[in-house]
Amino acid sequence: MARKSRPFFDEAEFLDRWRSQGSIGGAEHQVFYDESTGRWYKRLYHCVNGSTLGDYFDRMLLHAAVFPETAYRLEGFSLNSKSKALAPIVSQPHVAVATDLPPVTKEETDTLMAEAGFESVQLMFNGILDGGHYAYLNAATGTLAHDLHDENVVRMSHTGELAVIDPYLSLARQGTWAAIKLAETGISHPADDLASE
Amino acid sequence: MLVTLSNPPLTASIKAPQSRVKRATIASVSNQPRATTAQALKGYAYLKSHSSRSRSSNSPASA
Repeated sequence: MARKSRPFFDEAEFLDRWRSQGSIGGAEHQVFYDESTGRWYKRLYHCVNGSTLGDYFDRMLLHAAVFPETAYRLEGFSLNSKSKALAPIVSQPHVAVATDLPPVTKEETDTLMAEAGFESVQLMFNGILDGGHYAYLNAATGTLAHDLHDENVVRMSHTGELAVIDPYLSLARQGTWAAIKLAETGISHPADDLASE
Repeated sequence: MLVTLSNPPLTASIKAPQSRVKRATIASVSNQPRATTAQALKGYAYLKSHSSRSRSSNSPASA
């Protein structure tokens, strides 16, 4: 998809491209790869974890700050010609995955995140502790990163370097989703919030 | 791994640094050869088929 100067994309055109590559994606995005730019295009079709569109854009900014090597770029919005519904479209550089090597291990991700100041924490989903330990907290900044399983932390094919491509980043501040998730397992949100009470 | 240096009268044990990982950089990502659609989708399929998420976690998908 060539980058256009106008911020709106026809929704039907996006969905055609998405379907042509097997309708791939996850709980949030419909995704396709664009060979001409070497980037993945993602259309937000569902905000998860009760988040707002503002929360979503905050996450994009957090991602750029914590993982600039795989930063998202806001391309614009898809527009449904009938309903006039808008949905953000972001893009992200492709990371070539080493398919001849094993997936990234939990220990490797722990080390990667520790070097960025994050410590492994457990979160609770549906009343069950996250068995994969895929969450990490930077206590100094109150940044929570989760969903860092071995589909989202990948080994690059040409260099063997690790890249985080699809984390869920959020700020743990009083009353936020991240603070609530941490509180479920007995972890308090950052002291600066407590001090301002 | 422990490395022992022995050179009397001093004997010292130095703990080797913990295993490190190499993190991708903006340069290493942007300098990759441009992938074809087939190559990109092959990588995507590899990640899905080798994922341990469905076996060990109930963490929600967020792609």
